[in-house]
Amino acid sequence: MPDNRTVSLTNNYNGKLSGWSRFWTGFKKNWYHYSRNKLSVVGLAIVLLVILLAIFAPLVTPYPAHAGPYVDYPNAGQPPSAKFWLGTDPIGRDIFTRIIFSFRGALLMSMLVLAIAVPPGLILGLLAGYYNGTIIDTIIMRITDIFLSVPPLVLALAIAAVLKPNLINAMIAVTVMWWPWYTRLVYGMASSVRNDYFVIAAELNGASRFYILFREILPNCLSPVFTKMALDVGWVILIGASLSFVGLGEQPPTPALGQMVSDGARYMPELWWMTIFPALAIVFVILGFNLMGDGIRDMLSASR
Amino acid sequence: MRFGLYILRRLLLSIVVLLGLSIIIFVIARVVPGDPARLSLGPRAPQDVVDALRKELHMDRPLPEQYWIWLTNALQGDLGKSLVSKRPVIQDVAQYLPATLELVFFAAIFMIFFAILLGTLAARYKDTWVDGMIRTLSYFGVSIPAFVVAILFILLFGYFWPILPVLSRASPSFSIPTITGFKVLDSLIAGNIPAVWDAFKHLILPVVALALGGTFQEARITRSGIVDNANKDFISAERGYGISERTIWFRFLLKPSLIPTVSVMGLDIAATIGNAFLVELIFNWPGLSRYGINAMLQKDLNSISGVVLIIGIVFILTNILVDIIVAFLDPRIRLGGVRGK
Repeated sequence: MPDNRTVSLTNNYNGKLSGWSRFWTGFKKNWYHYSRNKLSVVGLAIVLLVILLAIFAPLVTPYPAHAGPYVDYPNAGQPPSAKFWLGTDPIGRDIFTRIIFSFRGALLMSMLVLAIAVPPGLILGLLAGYYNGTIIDTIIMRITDIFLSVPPLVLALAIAAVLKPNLINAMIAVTVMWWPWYTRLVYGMASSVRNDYFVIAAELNGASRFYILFREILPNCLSPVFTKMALDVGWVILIGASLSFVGLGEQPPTPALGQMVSDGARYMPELWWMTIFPALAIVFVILGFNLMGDGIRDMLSASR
Repeated sequence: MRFGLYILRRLLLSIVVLLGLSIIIFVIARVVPGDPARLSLGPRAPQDVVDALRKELHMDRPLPEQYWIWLTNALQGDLGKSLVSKRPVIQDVAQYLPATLELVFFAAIFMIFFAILLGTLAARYKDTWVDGMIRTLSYFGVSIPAFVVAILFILLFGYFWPILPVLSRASPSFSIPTITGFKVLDSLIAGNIPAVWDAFKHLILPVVALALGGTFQEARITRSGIVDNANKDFISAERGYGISERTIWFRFLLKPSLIPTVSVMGLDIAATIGNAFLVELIFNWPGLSRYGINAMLQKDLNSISGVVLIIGIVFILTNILVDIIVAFLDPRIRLGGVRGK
């Protein structure tokens, strides 16, 4: 007697799945691995919350005008209250509003830095890995070593300092020192699969260099790259906050997290809320991205 | 002997890297800003003064020649004059570098000690509340920027609970002759024990602020190193021989497990040196990083390039040191001469 359950199960998975249900099965599997660690779920919740707050900042904040040049002396230096949840600064602007608005610059910066830094880093790593042991490998990897020979924050500070201080130049400074990490990562992966049979088979079949690099080798390197990108969002926000802390990021009156902390430090300890809450906001955002990055790492390493 | 060759090769490669770094620095300080002469004299300086300075800086020559002049001068220890202090940059560096090195050195000691301690505890009491607490702390440790820790320390220990000094390197009441530039060492040489204690107390908060993130990250790496190695055959074999659990842990398990920890040290020291730029500013620590950040904020180009170059050299030397330590922990490298083979 045939087992009906087995039959129905195999029928479900006989390869005739529609695009949507294939996506849904894959999603369920990945979500299973991702959500096994509850902290990863917390991280995802934090990240989604921060992104939504940043997008809808003018709608969710009580005083959107306070994110710009706004002065309200009667309410200057108010401690946290029902009216001003996290207090106000010495010219009467709502700290809560300014923190939410500063998420915009922080997220924008990390997205753009990764979007600009990852592709060249990845391509250089692929090239160096594929031409492993040749002069191309040597040139690319020595240049990479040079960029990695200075602590990243130092180089970013130096570049941001000689340029005009603003958000765009802070992004450029961070981007310049970010790509080598991807080159080194992809180089390691690419050079290890470079002599595998599937690459040699493609070469013997006369596949183009482009095809071999991007269709044969690249897919094998993507999983660690995505993991690193997820973890790097938090790092870029951290570096961005460090730059704006010394005044080399977003310029006033536009709020930025690091700049708010350093502004507040001048009014310590009386207006302690000016420093503490932006500082906690930095930790909150970075923590969220780090937890999410760990979850993505678990997910990708489980499905490999 | 092959290990000696390995180190020699590392040193030679570092020279190549340093040359490359000098090109990057030259581009940052001389090419990116447009006209350094105009920048250093300000927008109101008359054109002929600017032209004179351009000539003095050899800026009327082609770029490769300018680079060559700058490089040969730098090799002879001439990094140009600081705009702000009006002194040769190399003098400023010599004055401020020891304070930063002292900070980074103690931060590294702190990191190693507590990373091994916490990591071993977490592995020994795996899956208990100790492990969970250290893991939770490590998540926060990695997510808190050093400058945030520093600011919170200032608020806490500077205003609300003043038990530790929060500013500068030493109390003004102690006058210790500067011999090495390292405050703790100088006080020891002078035989002034209260001054040693005073200098040490000034170090605590900046060092903890710098080291906190790296410590927890390395504690996690140490933990997973120990947990991975604990299931290996050589540990079971030693257990089978009847070697005591304590000996196994300290002699056989800890040593190979520390290799990943020490390897990451290089990266964490990089983070420490970078973060020192903000932490020194916050604690008013008279080191090279505070000097560097002030130079950056005032666009003092000669000082910027000098500071970045010196920090590059310090960092490259640290990484070679880390490699040597890893080699001593890992006989495969020490005897084979090549990492990872």
